[in-house]
Amino acid sequence: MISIRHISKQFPSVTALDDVSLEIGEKEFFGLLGPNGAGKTTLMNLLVGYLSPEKGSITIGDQEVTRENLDIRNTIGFVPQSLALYDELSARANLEMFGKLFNLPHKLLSERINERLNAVGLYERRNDNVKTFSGGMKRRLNIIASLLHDPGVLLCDEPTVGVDPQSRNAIFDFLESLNAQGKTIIYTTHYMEEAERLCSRIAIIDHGKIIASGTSDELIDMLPYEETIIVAKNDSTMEHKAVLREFGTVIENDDHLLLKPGTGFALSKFFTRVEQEGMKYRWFELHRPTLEELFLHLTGRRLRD
Amino acid sequence: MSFQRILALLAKEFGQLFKDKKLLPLVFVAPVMQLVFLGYAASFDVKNISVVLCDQDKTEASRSLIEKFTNSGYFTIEYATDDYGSIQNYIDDNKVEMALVIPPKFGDDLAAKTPAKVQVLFDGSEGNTAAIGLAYVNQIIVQYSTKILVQDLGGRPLGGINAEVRAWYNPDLKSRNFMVPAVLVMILLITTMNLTSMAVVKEKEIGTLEQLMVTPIRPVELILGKLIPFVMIGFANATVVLLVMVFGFGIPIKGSVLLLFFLSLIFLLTTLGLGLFVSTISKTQQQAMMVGQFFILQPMMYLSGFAFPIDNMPVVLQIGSIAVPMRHFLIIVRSIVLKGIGLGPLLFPTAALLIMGVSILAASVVRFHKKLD
Ligand SMILES: Nc1ncnc2c1ncn2[C@@H]1O[C@H](COP(=O)(O)OP(=O)(O)OP(=O)(O)O)[C@@H](O)[C@H]1O
Ligand SMILES: [Mg+2]
Repeated sequence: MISIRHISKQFPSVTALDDVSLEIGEKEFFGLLGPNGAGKTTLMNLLVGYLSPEKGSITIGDQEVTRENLDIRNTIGFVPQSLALYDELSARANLEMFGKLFNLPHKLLSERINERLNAVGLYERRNDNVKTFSGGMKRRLNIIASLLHDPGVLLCDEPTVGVDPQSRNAIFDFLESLNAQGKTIIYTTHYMEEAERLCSRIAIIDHGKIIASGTSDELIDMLPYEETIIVAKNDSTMEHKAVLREFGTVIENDDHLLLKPGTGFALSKFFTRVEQEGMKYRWFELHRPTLEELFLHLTGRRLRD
Repeated sequence: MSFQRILALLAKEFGQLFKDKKLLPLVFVAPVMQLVFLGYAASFDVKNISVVLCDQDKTEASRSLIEKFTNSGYFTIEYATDDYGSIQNYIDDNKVEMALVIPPKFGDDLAAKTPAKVQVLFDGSEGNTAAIGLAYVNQIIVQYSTKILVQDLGGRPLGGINAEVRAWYNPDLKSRNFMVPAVLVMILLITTMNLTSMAVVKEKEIGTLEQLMVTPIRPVELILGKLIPFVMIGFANATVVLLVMVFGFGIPIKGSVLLLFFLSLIFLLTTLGLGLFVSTISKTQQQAMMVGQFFILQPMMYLSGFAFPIDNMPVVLQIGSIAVPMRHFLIIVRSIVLKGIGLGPLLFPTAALLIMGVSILAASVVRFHKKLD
């Protein structure tokens, strides 16, 4: 439904996107995972036609996205990374303003505003100035401000930055319900937990390039090992580090050791050996690798420093 | 073009404006204060210049001249002396601002129809007073000479020639009459330019401009939605200033109010264009204020004839001032308010203003549009 083909975007000092291609299907909840400066926001700005690329093209449905194509914006909702609200105005006034820009009839707009305010638990506060809202409330308001025209595609650029855990969960639930109703969602984040929880498919982006994409499981399968083993840090395990190394790479963390199995690793052999060396089973914990580890594996860096 | 979208922006802009507790007084109280400051306090009128008189002639002619001075209302004779040498002390000790010396032969010279001389000494350190005082002195002397001339012709006034010198349109030479209409021009410039640039930059700062740009809004709608509120505020401003001018200062508008408002609209093309331009080169509201203040407002005030008469400027600046829109609007406002002149004689300044307004606004709109990228 959304086709991104060989997109490159150059800023005076950096190449923000370098030959990016992605296909996103209808009703997909698609995640764009990448560290700061990876090019996520730039890609979102291109998707909505706020920026134009040097190379490549983007189509949504059967329409090409360009800066001049204002019509296509009726089908896209855009939740910006930084809040875009008028603090001095009430929640309602903000929504009315944004809604009217989509030329919605008065009655319909009014109904939608009430319905969306209810959906994110802000109806009671509708007449209060946005100034008096918490960070989480502003976020929720910002999200529904981009949904008044009932777009089929929703672009969310890190919509949980600066949000308390409670609001964060409310936002997740709300987005999931929108997706269930049939909206295609593209969601950027640098939290792999968010991407794993929400997204049916994920692309990992770094330095303007897509370095991997697929479902969460497909991505994990790209790692040369299927599980990592968390090893309790104590005198015995520290003594036996050399033994552990026979099975893969050992990374020493503050409170535990992490064993990344090497090629030919077999759990049965591992545990037999552990027993022989007099180490206890309960010091070992099998752990499914995370996208964080994939990112580390692919780039040698962490998602967040 | 969608009026609903423009209306939505207008509603938002006014909503913000009326909720802003600081801005509204600034928009409507500040002009009145400016008017009062500039109209009263900074008035260039000089009254009651203190004078030491040294009448060495003591004839009827000299007394008659002295009477002219005292009756004018501008001069007060504080001291009189026969000792020419002591005059210096009066001025040096700041006892007086001016000395009037009538030499011994004054009456005789007048009678003999040879040029008679009087000497006027000013304390030059008070440049402004000196200059204005000198103008008054000249005025009085010319009146006096004319009278003598008329008397010489047998007391008959010269047919058809009004030899009496007076400052036209501002008969009392009141600088206030000159200043107050100019304040209107300045206030229009300040409020519309600054409010426009700051309102646009504010949206950049809080990120809403970007959010507006991802809706189907057309650039022209966005720009109209941004400019129309400030046209309206500019007009409200102008109305307040004109009311204060007419009823507070007693300066009537001699010409057509409608024409004044219509030409103001043309002037607003410039100020709004400049505001928009400033917004494209500023990242913060503070920057916008500074840029507007130092790169536009002050040069305009100095070059437009607002603060200094254009005739007194070096020729290069006189020519340069033709490119200053405020200069033309000043001429227009002063002409309509003080002289009651119609559009006909004002065609040149009007055309100049229109051309500059349209080009500045167009260039700014293009730049604004590009900058949105
Ligand atoms: N308007 C711009 N002008 C110049 N450079 C820009 C501009 N916008 C982004 N960049 C640069 O492009 C690169 C990608 O930026 P982008 O905002 O897309 O990253 P991001 O993945 O959204 O990062 P974050 O997680 O911090 O939001 C960065 O190096 C950034 O400095
Ligand atoms: Mg970003």
